[in-house]
Amino acid sequence: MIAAILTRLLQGVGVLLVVGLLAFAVSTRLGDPVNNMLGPEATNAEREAMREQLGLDRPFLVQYGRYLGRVLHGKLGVSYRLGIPVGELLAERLPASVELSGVAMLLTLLLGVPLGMYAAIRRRSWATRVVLGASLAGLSVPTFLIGLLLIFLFAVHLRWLPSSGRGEVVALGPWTTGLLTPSGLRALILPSVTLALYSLALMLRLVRGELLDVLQSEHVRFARARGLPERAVNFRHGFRNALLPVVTVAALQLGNLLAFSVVTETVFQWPGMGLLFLQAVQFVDVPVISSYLLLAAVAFVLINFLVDVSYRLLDPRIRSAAGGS
Amino acid sequence: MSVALEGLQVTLAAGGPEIPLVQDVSFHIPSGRVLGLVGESGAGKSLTAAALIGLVSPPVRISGGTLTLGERTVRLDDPRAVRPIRGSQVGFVPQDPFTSLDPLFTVGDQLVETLQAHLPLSGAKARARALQLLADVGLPSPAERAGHYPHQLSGGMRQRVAIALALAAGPPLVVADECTTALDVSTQAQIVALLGRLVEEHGTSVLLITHDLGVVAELATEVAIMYSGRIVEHAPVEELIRAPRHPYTRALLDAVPRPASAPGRALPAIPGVMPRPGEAPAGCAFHPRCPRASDRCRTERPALETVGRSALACWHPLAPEAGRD
Amino acid sequence: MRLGLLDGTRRGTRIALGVVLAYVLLAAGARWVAPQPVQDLRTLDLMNSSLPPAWSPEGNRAFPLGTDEQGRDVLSGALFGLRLSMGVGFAAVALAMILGVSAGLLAGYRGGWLDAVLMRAADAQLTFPAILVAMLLDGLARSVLPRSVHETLGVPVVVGAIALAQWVPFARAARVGTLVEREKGYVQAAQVMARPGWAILLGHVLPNVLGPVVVIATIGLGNAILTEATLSFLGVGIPPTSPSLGTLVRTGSAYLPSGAWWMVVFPGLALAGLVLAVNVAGDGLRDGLDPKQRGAVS
Repeated sequence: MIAAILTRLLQGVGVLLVVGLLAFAVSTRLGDPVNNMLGPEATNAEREAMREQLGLDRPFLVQYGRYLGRVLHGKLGVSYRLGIPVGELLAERLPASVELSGVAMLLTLLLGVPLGMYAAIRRRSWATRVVLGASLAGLSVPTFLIGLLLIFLFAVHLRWLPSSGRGEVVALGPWTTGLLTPSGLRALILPSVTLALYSLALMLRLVRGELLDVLQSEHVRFARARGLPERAVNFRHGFRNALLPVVTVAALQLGNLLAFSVVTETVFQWPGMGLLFLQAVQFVDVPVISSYLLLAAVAFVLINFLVDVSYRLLDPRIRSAAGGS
Repeated sequence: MSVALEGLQVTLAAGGPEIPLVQDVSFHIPSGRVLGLVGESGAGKSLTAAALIGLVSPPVRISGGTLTLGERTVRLDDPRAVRPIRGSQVGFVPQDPFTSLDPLFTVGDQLVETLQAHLPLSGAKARARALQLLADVGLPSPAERAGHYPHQLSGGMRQRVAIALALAAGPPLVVADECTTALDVSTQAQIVALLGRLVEEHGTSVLLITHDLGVVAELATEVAIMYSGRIVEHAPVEELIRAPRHPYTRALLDAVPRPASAPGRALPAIPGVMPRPGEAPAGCAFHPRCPRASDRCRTERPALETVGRSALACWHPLAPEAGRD
Repeated sequence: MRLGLLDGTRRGTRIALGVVLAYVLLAAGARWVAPQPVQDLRTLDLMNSSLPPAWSPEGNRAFPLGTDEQGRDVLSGALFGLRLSMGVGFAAVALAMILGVSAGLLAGYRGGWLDAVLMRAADAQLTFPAILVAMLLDGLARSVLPRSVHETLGVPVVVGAIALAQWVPFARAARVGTLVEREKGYVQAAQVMARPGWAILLGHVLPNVLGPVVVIATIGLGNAILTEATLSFLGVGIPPTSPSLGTLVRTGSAYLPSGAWWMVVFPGLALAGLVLAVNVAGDGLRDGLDPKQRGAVS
């Protein structure tokens, strides 16, 4: 099993190197950094000097190697738009996005999973019908519209909650959190609900689908035939088997949350990385774009890796296939 | 204790009139005896088995029938009465143990949970009893095997585990639904022998459902033949095989390939197909395929008449001792 | 084949399909249905700006759902925007279907390294959400192409970006279908008779994967429309000269704090209604294909 994990780890690193290459290629081919830094009035001599200084006269792979070296030291370039080192920018915006996505993920799991289970076990109750209908609506209404409507209702009309920003944040070392202040918490509510809605609906339907499948399976039938109590049948033998695909999708959902956070952060002017990325794309701020991509790739590879490991822990069939019985 | 089923009716209610699937099935199995229930696919054998443990779900429902276990009578059309007897009074051996055993739990765990569902046993006592059961069913090195997962066992071993699970609570009736069909011939022989031994040792009554007359000949004391939802013949096993009285039984026996039959001769198959539920012809359901059918057979359905330990539903049965017409 | 698909469907599904059809007709006939030809700037009068819907006191019957800050009729804008949103959505899904199914058929039929490469690409693709891919491509296009070219090419770029994000499920379904069919006798017989591969694929495999592909396409359509709307809302979608529903919500959202809700709500509802109908239809079609919905012996 250790060997299998190590292999996966190496594969992940491989993927990262490839993505890094792409990000680097993109960043060198898009636009002219010399031009960007010096402006159009610079003389040729100045350009040559800058080119040498930036190492742009070296072969591609060498440049890539140096780029990797810089990345590993946290030097990700300087933003064209803001003139601040990208590393600093990312570190500043990371906590906002993480807290937002974290709370959204929590909502997704705490509401989506139980509701999905309920919908599978009580197939024909009217409450299930309502829940399923609502989930379909949740998948159909665009996230930005939900955000706008929530703002209109709760911020403009009722004035209960703020329409933008993080509220008051507390600095804990390098991290800034909005979880420790009432205004911070209030500011989190609308954005996290908005962000969570889509993935909640998805999770609900997925859990229901998987559990329905499992509950029809032979081993659940046999568990019933053995006279085991309904609760044991549904949870121990039903849900536990449905867990595997649910875990995979939950992990993928994290990726989705990352992507949709762009929209939510835009609607609520939430100072996170998604908004940063959007602004970078609009401005063609290449260092930020490529660094964000790299970060996203790291996140995805990490998530995939964790999912893989948890699969091994959860399913004995995969365990013995790898390690022998 | 002896077991008796009286008047089982199973119907399909899917919009429109109710379609009968199993009609008026009754039998009596003394303690320590095996009743073979034989018939083509679709005759209603598996439904009968499912009805005995109440594992029938809409649109199929049990509309009538009582099961008597020793002193205790249970109405099968009352789901709440049937739930408690599942596993504790009626054990079930499934057809395919690979899909019936939960892949995520060890064999020992599944035994222990079944034991604890029905008997007041502490964890340690349940474990001990589980090991004993595994030894009883002839599983080699039970202590080691108990910690194995279903996919780590061979087909024959899994079937032994399934039998152990069925016997766990010591039920007076065990229903075995095609439990040898999924096995290769030599394993089949082992399981048949095992079942025979267990029946003798525990005094359990067994309802053995199969389409395999060979298995019936080896294991059963009495045989009931089902056709189109009804029992058409019921007799002690030697008598049935030696001198069947219903033309359908005769045809079934003839259709069994024998090593002695001359090569090059066509296997005698029964012409036509069994009518689907709801499409039974008037009169005797078998008459379209019966070489002895008369006008009476086409209009009047023969009732099941009991004579001693046998029963027969036919207007023109084969002569008792001759066996051939 | 189409009839067979509809046979097992519930009434709700057919209603949903009808709604989608109604949307298509409305969008196609926008030019005739819309009260105001909003692209023609000469018809705009700033005196009519920011009017609420016709049923409120300041409303005007000529503008049933109100007007925006430039005096454009919201209803008309929504109809034309609908046309664009649907057009892009359909085009993107069609493109994804063609690309994906072709790739899947090829991979399933040829196998070998082609199959392996395709599957790796598909796996990699799945980790990256559609929005990011689309945003990135658009950003690339924006920076690489000069302004005027980008404006004319704006729509195809978005279509391409969304299609790129959606091809994988099509490819998977086509590949699986091909693998299944490939093992069947008649395919091997045809190969022995030296019938060309593409004929086998088209003649036999394609009809068999059609069912799942239609279901994927319907669900994909909903996603494509949502993705386009989101991109437009973020300002990285199609150029704002011809606004889609997403663009309308974007411009309208600036006026939300002042209480002008109709500029956001009506285009938004049109969008949500369309996607809902598409999703319900897709759900129903998928259930219609899946025989596991009935219960007998439990």
